[in-house]
Amino acid sequence: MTGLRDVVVVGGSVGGYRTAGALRRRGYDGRLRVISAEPLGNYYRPALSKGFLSGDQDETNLVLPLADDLDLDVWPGAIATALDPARRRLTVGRDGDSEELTYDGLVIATGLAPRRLPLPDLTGTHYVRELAEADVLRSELAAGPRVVVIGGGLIGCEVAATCRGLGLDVTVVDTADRLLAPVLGPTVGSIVTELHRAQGVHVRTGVGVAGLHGHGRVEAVTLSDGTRLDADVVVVAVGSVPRTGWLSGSGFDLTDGVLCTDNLSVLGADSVVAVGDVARTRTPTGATVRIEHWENAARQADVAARTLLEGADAPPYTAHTMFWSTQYTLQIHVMGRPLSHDVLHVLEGRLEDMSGAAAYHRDDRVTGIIALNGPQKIRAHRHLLDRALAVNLPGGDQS
Amino acid sequence: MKVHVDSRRCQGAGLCVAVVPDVFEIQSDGVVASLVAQVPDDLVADVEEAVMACPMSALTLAAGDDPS
Repeated sequence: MTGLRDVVVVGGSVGGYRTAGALRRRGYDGRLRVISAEPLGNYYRPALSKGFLSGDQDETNLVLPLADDLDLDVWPGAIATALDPARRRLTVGRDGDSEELTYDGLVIATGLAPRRLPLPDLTGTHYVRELAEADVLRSELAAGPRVVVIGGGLIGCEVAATCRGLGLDVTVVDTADRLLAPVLGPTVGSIVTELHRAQGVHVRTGVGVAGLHGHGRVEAVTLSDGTRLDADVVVVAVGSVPRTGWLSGSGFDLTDGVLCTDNLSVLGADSVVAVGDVARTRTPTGATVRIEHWENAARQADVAARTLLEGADAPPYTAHTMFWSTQYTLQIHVMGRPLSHDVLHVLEGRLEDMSGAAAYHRDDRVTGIIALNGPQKIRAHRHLLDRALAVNLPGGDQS
Repeated sequence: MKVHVDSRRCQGAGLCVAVVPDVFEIQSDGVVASLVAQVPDDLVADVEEAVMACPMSALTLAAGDDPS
């Protein structure tokens, strides 16, 4: 044990709170503060593009209650603005005031901010990352608007599906040639694209956004091919960037996240760990990886807590990350980290029938397992991860 | 060991089913149920993984022989 007595967690979402819980579970009984920019505390962010937006869920059933015995000192609405790791000083702004906190252990869990497009500031334009943003969007959807979703990734597709479920007129625009293709490859991308079309979404692929138009409030979106789409609500979901601006004076390597060892210890500091979307970790091959999925943050939390408590010899993070998406009645589950150009081999069933499972394959290794409408199929095939695929698999190359 | 599913919290994300379908199943109402009164010893580690993966923290694994 490293004898910590005063740990500060910066970031009040899944990674931060789960790390706080893991610290307690592992016997840490010192002071434990959580600096949380959002007022609500720990809540289930994945619902913001799904059940919360549709109105099936409200704030009360999004909140993830904390165990009574965690003894956390949560600072809601507080924002970390600077870090001096040599002096172990964290600057925090709250209620218009700024103060310096000392710490002997620090958890960086500030997650992501949505990537902003250089668009005019028109009412009716939304980003979906935080509850407050989703709340405004939800109230605008109640008026029955025409919706244009910019970005056909996981969030964009989920928002589009939710809006169609509300009976709204929805267009999705993406520069890729298929929805979700940059995430799940062309085969699954085609299936998801056809699903959205069958559900009545206007899918505009292979085209970018040229501009937004309106007077105070958005009225239309123009595309790079000159098309004009009338719109009452525009949702921008074009990816995310790590929230590391507050670390700019820390001396850390902030190239796309905070660079960490494989056990989440931040390089260039003692007793600082990073967890979740913001953490870029070194893998045994020397490559670095940063993973933007909820379950990854949850799983990394215990590793981060252990590293903080045990120091450099704590074991590395090795878990296979899972992510999932729900669109209409389609449930997608993925384990591993496939890339869009990995070769897809069907393992069972027929993906085009929204069922079955497949393996992503790259450089003689299985990089991911995907299951459509059957999460149990992940279990059946996860043993293939990191292995070479036998060449005589049924199904063969689908991509 | 036995596992408890808090059905009021479960959102049906299905990660537990992906990890250990011998223990968890999504029912027709979209909520997960446990299929076993007692978690077999050889599946305890898998259930621990599912508990950690659950996005809603709806699963708890506890010692106990009484399946009630």
